[in-house]
Amino acid sequence: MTIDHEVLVSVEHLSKSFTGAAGDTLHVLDDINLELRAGEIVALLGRSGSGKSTLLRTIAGLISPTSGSVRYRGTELNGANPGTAMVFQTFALMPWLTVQDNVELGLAARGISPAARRTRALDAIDLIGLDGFESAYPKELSGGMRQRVGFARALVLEPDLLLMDEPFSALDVLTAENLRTELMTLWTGHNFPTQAICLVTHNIEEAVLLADRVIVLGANPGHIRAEVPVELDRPRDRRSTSFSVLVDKLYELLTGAEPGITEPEPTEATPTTRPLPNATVGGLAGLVEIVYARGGHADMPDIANDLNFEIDDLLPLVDAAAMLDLLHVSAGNLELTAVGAEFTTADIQTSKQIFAAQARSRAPLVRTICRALGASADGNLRAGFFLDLLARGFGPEDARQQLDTAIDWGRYGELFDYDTDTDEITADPAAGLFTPASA
Amino acid sequence: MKLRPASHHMYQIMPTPKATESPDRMTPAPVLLGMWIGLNPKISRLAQPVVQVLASFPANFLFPLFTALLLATGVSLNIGGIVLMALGSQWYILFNVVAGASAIPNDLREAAANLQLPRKLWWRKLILPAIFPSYVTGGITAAGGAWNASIVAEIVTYNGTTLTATGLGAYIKDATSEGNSAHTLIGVIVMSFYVVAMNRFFWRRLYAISERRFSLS
Repeated sequence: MTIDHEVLVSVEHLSKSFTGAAGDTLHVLDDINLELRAGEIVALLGRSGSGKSTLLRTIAGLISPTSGSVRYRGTELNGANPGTAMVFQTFALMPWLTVQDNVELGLAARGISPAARRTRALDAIDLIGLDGFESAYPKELSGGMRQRVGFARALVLEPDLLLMDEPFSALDVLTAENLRTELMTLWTGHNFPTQAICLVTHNIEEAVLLADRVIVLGANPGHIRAEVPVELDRPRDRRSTSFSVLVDKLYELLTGAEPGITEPEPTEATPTTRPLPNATVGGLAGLVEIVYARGGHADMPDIANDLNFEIDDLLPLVDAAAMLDLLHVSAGNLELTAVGAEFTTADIQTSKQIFAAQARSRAPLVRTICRALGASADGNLRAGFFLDLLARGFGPEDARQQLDTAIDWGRYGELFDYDTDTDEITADPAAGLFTPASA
Repeated sequence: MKLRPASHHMYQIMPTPKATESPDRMTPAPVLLGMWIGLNPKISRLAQPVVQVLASFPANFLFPLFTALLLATGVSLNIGGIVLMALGSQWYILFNVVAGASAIPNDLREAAANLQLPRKLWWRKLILPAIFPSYVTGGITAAGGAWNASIVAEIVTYNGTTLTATGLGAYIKDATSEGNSAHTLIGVIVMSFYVVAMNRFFWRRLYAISERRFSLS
């Protein structure tokens, strides 16, 4: 299928910030440059917090940029993008309208006569496989059927660009696979009513299965990390080597350091330069055990498949294990380190001690807490003190999240404890962080 | 000017209940206001405490002032009474509409924006159906409040002059102040009959429809 190079939507130097309730500014997107051309499918891939949904909504014209521009066929957007139609993760169907009324809604908005609306809606319903369900209400349909209505509603408008916001993630695995395959059959069948598709996903395999180009987004703030072309013929085979190579490459891009930027070592980083990943001790210990059970080497895509993990479930655990030097990550593969092997095979007490030692030296926020407790007057510090520290680099929710993780790690390693009632962090006497001054 | 001295009043055997008219006549205002507050998170945050304080102010305090207004303008209490009853009970509709409007799922609003729905369709196909269940809940509560209010609203006094409306509330109030327990009993029984009939044949049906077709879950 030859790709036209007509540019449908161009995003230039797009930045977006939100002001939170507390008056703080949250930078969600930073200097995004992107072109969406006719004839191609583009996937926006990233972890949660990378701004991919926000980017999609600025392309749709639902959110206006803080700076930069979004143009549809050369004209800057003023409100909703007239050349796009969107399919939502939560389907977004009006519960009080039948399937047919829902599909006709966009046509009614354009002032198309009832008779013409009916024919076009019925055609779209037929195309997407909903024949016979025209007078059903969304309540009576399964998730897969509801999403089909979402597709029909978008496709009946024959938009230049179809936008999809994680369209299959609210569906069970089998239904999702079914819909994906049908979508691809329609796309390659040259009868597809739109010229291009842009989809947001956090499923790496889905991106490689569907897209011609995968744009990898990084977080803090959201920016384009890399662009990976996918030049496989359709229909694509998940089990082929070329497929796996691409999946591995994307895992690497999502877990590795920013290309071209050297990150400070965990032993030297500050809490703001290396944030604490959102991982519980149980989760990351479990991951290390799994790698150990596989002989000390594991392939991330395999683990994700076996555990049915999304990247937002798996990657924080990988990041945490790597930060504590329990696992070594390279090119989509996980390797057990010497410390990791010790940690997994030891008894509970010893493994706690190993964990405590690693966390104390390699997790910046935990290290900071330990040092601060050591320098305090009585081994107690308000939790708010650390939240203020973190507020310099992160939003309030993110800061709270990191502090909770640090407390979880500190409690497990018996380094310090947290009293919810007084909101204070107290050094554990056995950890030797704090030596009371003799009177 | 329909001023009746307090001692002479004749009533029909089954006076028309005005409480039913009250919520319907006054609804556009609280619905529109409630919509505006509910759909704007920033305004919500500011307006909610203000609205709550205003709502807790007993409407009865305003009755004498309102009576003075009626006397001055010569409007009959048959009509003015509706406004009096509405004063207390409209808050329920406002609260519920605010809650309903702020609960409209974000994805539906985004879908409506993406489909570029013009104003009329936006109201007809998204907003009004979405707040309908909240409106019904508010309406049921408001109607109840209005029934109660009718007993005090249909006879009002200002500066020695009493205004009376033709109504069940006035009947009950008169019977009570005269100490006529038989008439009071009859009045209360008739009112109960009206309330139960309204609830059964109107409000319950409306509520069932709103649950079946318009609920968001």
